Amino acid sequence: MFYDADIDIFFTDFARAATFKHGAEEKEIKVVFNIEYQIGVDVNTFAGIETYRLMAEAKTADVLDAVHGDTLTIEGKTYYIHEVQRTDIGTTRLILSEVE
Amino acid sequence: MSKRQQIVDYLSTELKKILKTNGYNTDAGKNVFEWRDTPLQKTELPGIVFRDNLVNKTAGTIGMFRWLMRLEIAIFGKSASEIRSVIEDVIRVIGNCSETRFGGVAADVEIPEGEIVIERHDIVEGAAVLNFDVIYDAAKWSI
Repeated sequence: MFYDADIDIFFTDFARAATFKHGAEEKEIKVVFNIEYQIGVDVNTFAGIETYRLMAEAKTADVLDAVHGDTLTIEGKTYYIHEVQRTDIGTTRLILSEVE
Repeated sequence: MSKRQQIVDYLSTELKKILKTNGYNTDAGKNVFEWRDTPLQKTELPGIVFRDNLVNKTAGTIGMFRWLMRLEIAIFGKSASEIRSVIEDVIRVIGNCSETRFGGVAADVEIPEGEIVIERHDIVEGAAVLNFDVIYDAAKWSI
């Protein structure tokens, strides 16, 4: 079972700094940045394209107002938030894309 | 060699001619694959994967088998506009195949349907599938 203290350790030891932008509002938060392999556009049982999706996990409290189209800048690179997945352990997984 | 094999070989050869140097919109002809069952890599975009998927015997000339072969052509690219450009190239190829009747092997060509899908991941990716039917006559009990 996760406790808030566990989450804090998680974001202290493994996270990196990111700038979360929601509308005109910007704030510095910590996220765990990750990449997941996946196959894109597997239409009509054709094998599709090798690709990956980018995700950043943040404390839900830091990204409560996140919506599609908001941005996350990590080490100077800006990513667009395409999905907002709330977990029941106090974190939110943001699915990112390099393209809007 | 069966007529079916001749038609597939003809299509493969024509698709590989999709090069800008041949007056086409794209260089998709550099990445043409028959029945590929592994995902394309980004360096292989735009790319084309095709397969002969469905064959039906239809009413035809007495003493011959008239076949209707469904060819599926999947087009993969990095943007909707790129995919549309390849679609135009592929349609042109199919037109050429239709005019020559696949080198005199086929009786007719029809384009029944198609679809396009776009997704966004680390890059924009998309695919379109064009289906068309090739009708041809083969000797009895052959393809």
